[in-house]
Amino acid sequence: MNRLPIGFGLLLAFQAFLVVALWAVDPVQYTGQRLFGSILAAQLVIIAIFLHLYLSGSEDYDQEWVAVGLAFIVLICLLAYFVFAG
Amino acid sequence: MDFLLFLIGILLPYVTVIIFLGGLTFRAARWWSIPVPTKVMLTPAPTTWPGVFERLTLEFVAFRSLTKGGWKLWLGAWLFHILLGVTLLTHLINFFDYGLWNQIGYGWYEGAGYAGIIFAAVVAFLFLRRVVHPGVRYISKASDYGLLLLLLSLILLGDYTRSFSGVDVSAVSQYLNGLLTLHPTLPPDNPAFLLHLLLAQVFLMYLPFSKVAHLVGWIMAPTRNQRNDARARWHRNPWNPVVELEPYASYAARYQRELEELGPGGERQ
Repeated sequence: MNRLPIGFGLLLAFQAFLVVALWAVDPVQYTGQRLFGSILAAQLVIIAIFLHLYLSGSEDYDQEWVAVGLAFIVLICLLAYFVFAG
Repeated sequence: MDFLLFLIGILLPYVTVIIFLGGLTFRAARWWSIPVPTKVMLTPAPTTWPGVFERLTLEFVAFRSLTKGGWKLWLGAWLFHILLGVTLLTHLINFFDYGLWNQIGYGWYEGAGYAGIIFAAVVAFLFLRRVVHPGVRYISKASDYGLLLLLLSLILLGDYTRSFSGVDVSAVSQYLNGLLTLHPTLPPDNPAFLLHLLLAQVFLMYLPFSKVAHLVGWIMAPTRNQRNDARARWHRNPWNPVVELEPYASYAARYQRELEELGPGGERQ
């Protein structure tokens, strides 16, 4: 079983979730701009992971970088929850 | 609820301390009693005790041996332990004297909060690394994931307790002081705090029987705490039976007749 497409699918689903969340939060009226920024930052990290995986192609890629990227997303989400939104 | 408060807040903490200290002592004593038949230090190793002290200090401060696992793992583990230290320090301040924060400054109190958030992210990295990296996943057991998940929930609950639960920290400090002075009182009736306390106790009780026992194990590893003096000193293997050694002079005196019967070549005439 190739796990890469599943990983891509999960990341895409997460990104879609973020977009829906953004739509629900409505940044035009919502004053929590830092929260908005943190969501964008999380998206950027996700795009960076995509890029890393894409550029690696079929070659063996460094999975630890994916873990680093995911951990950064966790960090951004935590900051958004505990600091920006709190 | 009062019974739960009594169980989690008064009874369990003392049980935890007994299991934690007893378990660690038991494990350390067992490691200590295992014979080391040969010199097994990892070379290049120091030849003197000050050298060994320097090596272990470097290991303790900088996790030198972990650099062999890659810099990303090293950074994650190092950050994890630094933030663990910060967390322990802030907990100790809350334990003994909550008023100390007024002297230290509000900025440091805020900083400790951020440290807790980064702490959770670092643990998340260590967990995700196990999930994402096939090599690490292959050597990971359920207990490895379980420990990290337990830690993650413990830290997240701690962050939540601090930021949103509205628990009275001075009341917590008073409660913890009561535990320390053996005059326990019921803990503050706050679900987030109680759950955090319970998870902390579960973690501390599990600690001596898990791989987190490297807390005492790192200093007892013969691969690092031995001197590289195999050629200079006789390393006594504690497994060997005691052998009575006889000097040649008394041996020769005892078997003089037999030895004289044998020729210089050691053959009977």
